[in-house]
Amino acid sequence: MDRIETDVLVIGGGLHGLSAALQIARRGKKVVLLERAHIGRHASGASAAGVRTLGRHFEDLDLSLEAKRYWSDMPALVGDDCGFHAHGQLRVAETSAGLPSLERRIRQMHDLGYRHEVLIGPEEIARIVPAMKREVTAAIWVADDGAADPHRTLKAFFNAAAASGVKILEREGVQAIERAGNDWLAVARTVRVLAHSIVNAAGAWSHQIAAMVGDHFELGTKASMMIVTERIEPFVAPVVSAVGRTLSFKQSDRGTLVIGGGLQGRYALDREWTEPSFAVLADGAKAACELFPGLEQLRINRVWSGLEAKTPDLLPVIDLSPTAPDVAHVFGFSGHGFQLVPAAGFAVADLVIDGKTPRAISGLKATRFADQAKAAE
Amino acid sequence: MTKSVELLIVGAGPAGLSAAVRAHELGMRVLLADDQPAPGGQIWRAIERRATKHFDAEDRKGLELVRRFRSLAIDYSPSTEVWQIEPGFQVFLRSSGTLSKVQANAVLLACGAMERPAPFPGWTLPGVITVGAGQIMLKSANQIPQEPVWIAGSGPLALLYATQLLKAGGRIAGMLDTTPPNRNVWPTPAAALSATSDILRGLGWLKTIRRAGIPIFRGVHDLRAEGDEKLSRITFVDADNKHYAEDARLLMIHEGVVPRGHIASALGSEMVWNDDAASFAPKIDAWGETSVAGLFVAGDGAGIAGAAAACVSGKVAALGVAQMLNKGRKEDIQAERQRLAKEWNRLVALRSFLDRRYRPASAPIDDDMMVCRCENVTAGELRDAVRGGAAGVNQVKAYTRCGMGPCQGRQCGYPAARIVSEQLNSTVAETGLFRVRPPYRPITMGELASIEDEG
Amino acid sequence: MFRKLQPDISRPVAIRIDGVAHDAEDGEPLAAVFHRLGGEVRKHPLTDEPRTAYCMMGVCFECLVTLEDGSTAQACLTPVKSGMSVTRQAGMKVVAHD
Repeated sequence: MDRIETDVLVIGGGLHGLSAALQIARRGKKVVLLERAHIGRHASGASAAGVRTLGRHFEDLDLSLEAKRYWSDMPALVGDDCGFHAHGQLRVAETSAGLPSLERRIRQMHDLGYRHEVLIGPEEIARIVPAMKREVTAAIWVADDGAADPHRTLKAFFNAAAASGVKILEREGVQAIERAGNDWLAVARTVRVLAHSIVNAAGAWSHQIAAMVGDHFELGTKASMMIVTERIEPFVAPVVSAVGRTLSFKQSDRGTLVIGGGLQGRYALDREWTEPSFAVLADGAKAACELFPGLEQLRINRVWSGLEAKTPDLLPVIDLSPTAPDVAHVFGFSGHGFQLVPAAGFAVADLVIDGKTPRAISGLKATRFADQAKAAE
Repeated sequence: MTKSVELLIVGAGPAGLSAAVRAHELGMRVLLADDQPAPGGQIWRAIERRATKHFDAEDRKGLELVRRFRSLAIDYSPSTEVWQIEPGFQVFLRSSGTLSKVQANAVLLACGAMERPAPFPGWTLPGVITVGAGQIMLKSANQIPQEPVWIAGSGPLALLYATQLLKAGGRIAGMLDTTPPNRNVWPTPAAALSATSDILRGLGWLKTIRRAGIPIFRGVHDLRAEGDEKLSRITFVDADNKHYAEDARLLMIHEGVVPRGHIASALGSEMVWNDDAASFAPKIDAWGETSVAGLFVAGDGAGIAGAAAACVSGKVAALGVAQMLNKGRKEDIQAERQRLAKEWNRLVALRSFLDRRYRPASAPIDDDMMVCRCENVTAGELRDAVRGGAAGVNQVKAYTRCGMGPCQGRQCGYPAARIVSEQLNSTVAETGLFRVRPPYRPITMGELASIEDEG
Repeated sequence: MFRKLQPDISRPVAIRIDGVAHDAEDGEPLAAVFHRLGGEVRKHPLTDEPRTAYCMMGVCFECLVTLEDGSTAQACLTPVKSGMSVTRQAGMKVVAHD
């Protein structure tokens, strides 16, 4: 078995692993990244790639707004625009029943000093999304949110990380981690890596990696499904969601409609296997057809589902390990991770190298579930 | 209310029909679904509509089986596509724009074979079709090429169609044999003995073509189809490195057949690479059952062996399902399977020889050649994706969209696997084909929206 | 490019392609009709290149046509029926809205 010595071992070849590896390498450290299957195999490769600050929980909102600044100039960060288009994100209340929750949200945002979300009425909605049915009440609109191309993003981060000297090894699942003096020794399929620090970015399997260093997390799994239609002429510009519906609706820059939003399929975590449930997808199709008249004859060429981690509060863990020295966790994005990628990488690099970070992750602590459990008692 | 059957068969060709009849005889509740409007699969296409005076012995056997199938009034759903199968099995069907669901204890995939995708420059031009397409038009529409047709490729089917076409009064401009020259492959004596009639038939076809004075070119490579909006000329090189440029209005291509393993693969069946046949097939046991419990495969979909062998394997699969469902007497079923196995061995004796004899040439594929017809992806783009870090066909698919169109990788799967594996210094056996995701056939947003959740 | 073996169609029915009437044989695959009319079935949505019914057995998805109810069908799997009316496809689908 080959033995590699390095400064930092990143476990997990999704976007968050790549982003952390990139920033750590750029600060002068030697980095090895181990990926069990291939880069972007699970959540990152199955992402709808929404670049969204709209509707964020307060605890990751500041990090998201920081990430937004990077998204507006991805070529500077990773040498490619990642297919990002700022066509906006819209969350619509179809009837007056949905209005109070939107108004409450806007009030809370304004009270806290945030102005990026605005409430708009039917005329403005019709101007922004002429393809939507006319009978809607109001919507929250963020004009410079948008969407990117997940595979271009993966490729860009992969290339940037490799160019920064990160050694990326695929088909190397970590099977065990042991303490080796002041360092960690990770045993993978054909290599062993000796590293001073570890970054746990193992997606839906992060709790398994965490357990190897002595941290216990209750991690759920999401198998979110997406429908992809045939390509059509330009139809809708922003990403659209609707109050009371599990629906996220957008048009990719290839012209396909991508319809998701958290419809859950079937999965088996240990087999890295997911399968769509068409009974559930039917609801998504129905919602889309109701919101956008005229979709009925569009052909669905494929459907997929991806595996990602889910935490009890649907917020990620971005924190140093509470028990293990020189281990940083970055996982649990629960379906909202894509947009945070550029900023989270900096935060993790700070944690690993400086032991702390000025970036906005104070609400994303590893111990909060234990704290919450204690508070609930 | 979801309909419930004991055995759902996908495909009404020789294997599917034979399985349906046998299963029905054994007392099982069977549903046979097929995407064609009438039974017969590809080899017996439109067999009920064709004039029987032109039938050969194989056609007559086919018509007899179809009539027997009809007479038993087995539940039959033509013009029906299977677009998803979930564990249980819940089989999702689509027919005339309506979706329905059937619960089945066992599923038999008898989807047959398809032409091996054989991209070459200009292959997407109108005027270029497969030999199989020509045969289907002869059988189902009683039509032949108006002008002399060029037939290119390798394998007995091209010869067979040529003789059928000549018999029907068609004209052939030339036969381009792309079989690599100096293919020194010979059948084992035992195989040759038991398959003598097949060999004699094949030799007879060649004689017919030669007697008609049709030019035959051997060792053909670098075939190109050219034209503006439609085919107007072909160019090619023969075994002696002589270059040709010929007027052409119609070119038919055939590079052998491969099993249609799309649905088996989607359901997680273990797929096995057959090096002689240069193709994948689902791994099956002696009863035709795959590695997925209750999922059976029979006919060419389990491995190319022809219609007669497909009938045998269809019967065997029916016995396998019967055993699984405790129908019939165990000893009788075992004995029958053994008899069928002997017949099977006799029928497939020549297979290995034919596979190796007609193994497709690995002609170099230029970067500018169109590999994915649906999404217009070239070989160069696939190679770029691998060079850019994509380490397998599924990653290449994600980066290039190759395999994401309506055909979902059926037409580009093998060529893409070959290009990617070459770029990776690997083999197609290692690389595998695209991961298949449902829907296996497109469904519309409106159709999906109409699915009722029955819990 | 293709012709019937018999000069006259034995059971002719009238169908329409892009509004133009054609004789066809009841029950034959619709794609066969296109092969008698020169071969082109549609224009590819991405490149506008003409494409034909390549495999005639439902595998290649090249022979897509639009049926009268607006749905897309593979012409090789669609039997000719008297009075059927289909339109050729060209370009990407447009979903109309006000």
